Amino acid sequence: MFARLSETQSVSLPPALWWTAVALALAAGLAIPSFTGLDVHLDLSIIFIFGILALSMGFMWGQVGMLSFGQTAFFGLGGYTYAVCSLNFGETTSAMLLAILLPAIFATVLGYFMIYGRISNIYFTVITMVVTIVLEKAIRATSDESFVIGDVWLRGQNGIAGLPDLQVPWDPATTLFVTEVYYLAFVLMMAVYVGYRMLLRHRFGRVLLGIRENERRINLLGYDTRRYKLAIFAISGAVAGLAGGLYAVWGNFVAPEMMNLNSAASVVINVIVGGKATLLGPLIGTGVVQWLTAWLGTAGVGQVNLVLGLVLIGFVMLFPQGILPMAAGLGREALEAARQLFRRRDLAAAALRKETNS
Amino acid sequence: MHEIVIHLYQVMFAIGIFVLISLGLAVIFGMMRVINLAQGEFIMLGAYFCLFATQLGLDFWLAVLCAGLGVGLFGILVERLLIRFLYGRIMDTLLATWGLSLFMVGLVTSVFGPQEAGVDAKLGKVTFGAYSIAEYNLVLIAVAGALLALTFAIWRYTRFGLVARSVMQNPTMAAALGVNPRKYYMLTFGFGSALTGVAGAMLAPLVGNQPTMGSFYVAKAFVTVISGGPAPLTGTLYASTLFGATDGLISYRTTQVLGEIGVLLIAIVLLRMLPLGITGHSARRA
Amino acid sequence: MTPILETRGLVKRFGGVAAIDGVDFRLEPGELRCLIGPNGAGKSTFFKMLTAQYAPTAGQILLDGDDITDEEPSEISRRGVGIKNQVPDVLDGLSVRENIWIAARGRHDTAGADHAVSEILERLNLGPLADRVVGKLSHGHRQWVEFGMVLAINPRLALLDEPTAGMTAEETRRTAELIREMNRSMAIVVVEHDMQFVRTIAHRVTVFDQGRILAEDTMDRIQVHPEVLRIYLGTSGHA
Repeated sequence: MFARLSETQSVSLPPALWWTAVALALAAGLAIPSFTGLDVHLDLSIIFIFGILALSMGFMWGQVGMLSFGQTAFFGLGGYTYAVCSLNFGETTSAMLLAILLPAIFATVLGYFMIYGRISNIYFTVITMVVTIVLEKAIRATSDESFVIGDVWLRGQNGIAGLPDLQVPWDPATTLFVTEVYYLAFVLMMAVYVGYRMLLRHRFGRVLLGIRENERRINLLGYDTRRYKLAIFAISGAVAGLAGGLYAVWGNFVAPEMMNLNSAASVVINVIVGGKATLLGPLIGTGVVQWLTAWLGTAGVGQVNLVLGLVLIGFVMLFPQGILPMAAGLGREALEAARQLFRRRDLAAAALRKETNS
Repeated sequence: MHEIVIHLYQVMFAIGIFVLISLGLAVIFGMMRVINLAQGEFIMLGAYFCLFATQLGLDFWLAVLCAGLGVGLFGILVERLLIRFLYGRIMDTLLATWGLSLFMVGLVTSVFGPQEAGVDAKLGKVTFGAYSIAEYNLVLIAVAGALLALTFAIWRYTRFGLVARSVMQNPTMAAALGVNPRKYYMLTFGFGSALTGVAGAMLAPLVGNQPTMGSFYVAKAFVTVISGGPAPLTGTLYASTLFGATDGLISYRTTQVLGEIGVLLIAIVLLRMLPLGITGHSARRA
Repeated sequence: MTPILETRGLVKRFGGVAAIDGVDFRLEPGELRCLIGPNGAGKSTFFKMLTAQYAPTAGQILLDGDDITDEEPSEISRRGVGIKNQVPDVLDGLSVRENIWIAARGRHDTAGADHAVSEILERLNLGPLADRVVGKLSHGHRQWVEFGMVLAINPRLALLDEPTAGMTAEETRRTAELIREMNRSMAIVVVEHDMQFVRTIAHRVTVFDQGRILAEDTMDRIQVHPEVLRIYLGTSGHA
């Protein structure tokens, strides 16, 4: 209940205030590189890229009620598309566009069978997971030298290394380096965030919110909900593909791990930790979890899986709303408690006055 | 002639594997509507129980029994600590059991290490014309059939099965009749886990056992149970037959991955046509 | 004249039980009809079949003479059929305004929808509640929100399943007024238990019993129909 309320409220947040916050965040993000080193740019870029991925998942889950475990499949597909195309074409702009387009097409075909078959939400979730598992296995099985697309050998579980840097579309001789990739990833993350947010303010997005609340009613109002669900699945597939393409650019490398179950789980964990009710939640969650994972790595905790598993169980069982609404709730409670305290003090003082008067 | 028989054997073996890995899930998901995404890790745990027991010098078949018992008890523990708080919250169950699956992989890796380990069932081969077939594989087919029949019999003809079925259909009514529904949920979850544990132990001699092996089976198991539809046991049999035959024939002629892709494609097309699964149109639950 | 709604030999079986058992129903354009009958007579099931929430086991449904038996709920809605279900069927997590806006936006552009929403909010006295979350409102208010959604799609045929359930006497009176007003621009079928209410809004009444049409006549004659008295009015004592 709380999640829904907070979302409704956040949608109706005064636009002026919201745009101001976006502008401030944008300014801050663009200012960061000028007083930090390359290592920070690299670390933050990957958080932004995973943030885009988490948004593509969190939007569908929190706003439409479709829990897709397939976002990492689209992410991996985007990465591999960039890898194969950029190496084959020797040109990266079209490779990046295809990294968005191909996952979108794949999502459309897959989504058609699931959504028009009217399988239940839970089966949708399980099938997207199964597709991810099988796609990863398929990529892993390409270690034989006969698995070649154009001139590019897929190399199975070793992944494809040495991918070209991203070229500036109108100036192919210039390529993006670490800090420029930071700017690109950051701006694209903000764009995806703003885009999803704008979507919610318009008819398409409102109908999606309606589907989350009561799909049957939306159908009875004359909307073919299957078209809406398929459309958002395709859009989110494209967004996940974009994240995958950026990931390939970021590390000049793709590997089947991009789409294994652990990656899928970490996307879910990012979203649930931040909270799925708002669009800010998945971004905050990604930041927190990435930082936590890095810290666990350096702290010498051997089994990150063990900790992530416990985090996932803990949040589902104890804090299903995530930290963002929780923090908001705590803040509100603290405020209320302070108010109560003052009121009680006033009452006590009044009572005291009364007593002394009588 | 030999060619046909060997094909038949391949198909039967593949069906047997599908039945083994799906049966426990059919009980847990099909009957209780509880999604256990850690199904693959329950299989892995069964394999490790078997591995550990045989390393202690136990006979393989005793080790299989131990695995069933051990994973069954583990299942009951999981039900008490986790699942029972999540009944009716199917999405949360799915997420929590996913967490459980990560946790189990992490735990087993830190205890046993990430490397593969094998189990020897100590059985020979039978030669058949130009082909030789591992005896163990024939035994596996028989065990899969026997487990399916056993589960069906327990569910259909014993008092436990009768009461459990009525609890799953109408817990309130069952409670009014003096049955403790929670006990039956717990035992059914344990029973499904035990079946999965036996499956894991039976698979142990066939593969290199490692903590991440669960992900090899979880996809197949879910595809089978979902495609099977609302009558979990007969559904699992039909779906296992369909997918086993597909997988067996494609894998035998090409590669395992293509076999699995074939299974997935058929399942997705099947669900487009029969969203409720193969047994979706028969109202009877069994 | 082609009836706006016609069913031919409509049947719906759940397992072995026939909830609707051969219904031939006709509604003329602009008509206001009440469906009455004891609980379990099949009235709500009939409505759900008309809006494709249930697929018929047998029979045909025609809207303006077009066969819509196999159409999707959204297609039937687009043809101009609006339904208010028995239990308030609204978007609980969204505000009153958003609920009605989503309904209106399906038939209007954004400006038109905004306009329709403010009109409907006023008409239903929902203005003060416009930004409240529907799930937090009383049962009666949620009924009004659902009415608002039906109004917002501006149907040619409105199906209203127990519109006054959970309403106060004053709200019931206003509902009757609203239904009569809606009837100026659309045909309406109302399922209702409250006989007083039925008498105030409709003069032609169809009686359902055990999945069949038992009688169809004016309210005055229905009240003295021996079969009806036996199965329905006699036992309930409303009339």
